[in-house]
Amino acid sequence: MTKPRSSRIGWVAACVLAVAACSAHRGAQVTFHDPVMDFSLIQSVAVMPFENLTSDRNAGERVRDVVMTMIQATGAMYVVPPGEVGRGISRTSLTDPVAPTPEEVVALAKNVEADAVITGAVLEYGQTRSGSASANVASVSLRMMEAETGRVVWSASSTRGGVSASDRLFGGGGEPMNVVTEAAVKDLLDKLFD
Amino acid sequence: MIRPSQPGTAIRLRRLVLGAMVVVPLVAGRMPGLEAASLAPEARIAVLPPENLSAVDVSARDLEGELRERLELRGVNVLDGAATEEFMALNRIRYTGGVSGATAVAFRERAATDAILVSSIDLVSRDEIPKFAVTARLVSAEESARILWMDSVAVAGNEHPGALDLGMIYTPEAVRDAVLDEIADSLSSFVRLGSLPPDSGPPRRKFRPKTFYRSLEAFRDREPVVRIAVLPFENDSTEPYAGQILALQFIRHLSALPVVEVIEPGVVRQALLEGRVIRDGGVSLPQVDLLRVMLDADLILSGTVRDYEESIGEFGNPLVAFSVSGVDPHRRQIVWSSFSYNEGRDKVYFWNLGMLHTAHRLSSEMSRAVLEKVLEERRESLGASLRATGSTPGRTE
Repeated sequence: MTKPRSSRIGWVAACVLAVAACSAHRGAQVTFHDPVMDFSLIQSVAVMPFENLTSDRNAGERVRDVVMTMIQATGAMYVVPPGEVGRGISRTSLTDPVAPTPEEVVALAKNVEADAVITGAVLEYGQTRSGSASANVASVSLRMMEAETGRVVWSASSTRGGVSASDRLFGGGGEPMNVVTEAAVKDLLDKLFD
Repeated sequence: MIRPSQPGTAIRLRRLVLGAMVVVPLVAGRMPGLEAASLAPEARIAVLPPENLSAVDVSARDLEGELRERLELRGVNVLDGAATEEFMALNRIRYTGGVSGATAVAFRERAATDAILVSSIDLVSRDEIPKFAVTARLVSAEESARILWMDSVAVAGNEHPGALDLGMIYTPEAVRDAVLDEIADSLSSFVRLGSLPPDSGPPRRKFRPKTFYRSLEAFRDREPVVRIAVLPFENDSTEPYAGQILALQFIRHLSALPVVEVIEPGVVRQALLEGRVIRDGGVSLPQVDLLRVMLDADLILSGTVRDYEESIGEFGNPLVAFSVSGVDPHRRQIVWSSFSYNEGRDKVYFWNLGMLHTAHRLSSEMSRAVLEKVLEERRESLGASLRATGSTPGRTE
């Protein structure tokens, strides 16, 4: 006796759903755009040191470096040199450069002549394991604050890399860390310029 | 009927010739710039003890002696070792990684030398597969301390294994000899014949920076010659001297460009010391202003090395990642920035063909690719501006 056709389709659909559910969750998206902000007015940004929530000591500086170069490479905004940002931080005596208050943002932006200040946090950076498979993952969140009021006008987060279904099935170890970082930052900039 | 004025044949011809004068050298990677540096064949050269950037205990004095011996064998007039040592003691010279203007003049006046050979040992590996790398440059003994010649050689024992591994080198001495011979050959051919190290062709695309920015305004009013000061790179890698090694690679490839005058690192170091410039996370704009005044530089290049891992063993894979940014001190703006990362095994599929076995070679190719990209963008922007003025037809490439 053969099974009815609808039952077979149901099984196939269930299998597809199961595989999709088991595969890695990639590119988690959380974005905020201030609807009243005219982003075309932002011509220069200061990128602050990033908060590093990972076990890699240099993750914050590495991701910040990539963010600065990639923003500059878009040609849409000028990025204040990191040494100048450092000087601005010491001149405005910021207590916590990775999480400045709105007043501190205003003072710093005035000091380094920036139209906006970007802060960020590196949430994950390095290898992640799932069973016997492992792969590199980078998870970054950014916030942009305008120079006039210190108000947050944009924020987004992105995660790239991680163990995929093919990594689980065939091994491979995923992409190199630099590739994963670049992909996460590119995703963030795509969200910014959307 | 009055017709709109058209340029006459003579004017059009003049425009064409002027356009060709600018574009043709650019297409060939050349541009009228500095006179080719040269030295009289009988010029006397002082050999400084190499700076050890390898983080391995090696005798710099022994290496200096070996290099001097090789140069003498090739007919180069070299200042005696004892005389060099005496001169350094009398003038209290301890730093051998560069030459300041004052030191260069002192060499000329008190040791009767025409040039100074500054070198560094960049890599020493005595494990299963030996590796050795040296970078050397010849600096004129005058106040400007011009870089006359610069070359860098790295050899790994497994670079050319050949059939049945008959080409493998397992003795560190053989690798070291190969490097020193190549450096001595290159320098002696420059001194005797005036020939610079051969151009190894355009860099491969895989070494290009992954992210790149260049301002179209950069150097527009400062061509044809741009004076560049390269600061030691900051180092976040596990290799203790990677910042200096990478800066030297940039200096080497920049100094090969006729449109660029690279300021001798010893002169830059002296300016940093005199200006008390402490870089914490990069150069600030007041520091840029200071360096512009002290060095008369058109571009200040700095960077950070993120990864610098030498390959280990026969099947090791070197890894290099760095970012570079150039600040135009006249505009007080970043005019060039890039981020690069590569592995020695990138795009290598069969029999290790095209693989680079040392991080030293890899960083050299990557820095060359960054500079090629800068030049390419420059050619395109210049070609576009010339096309806009109607001076030259077609693309520049």
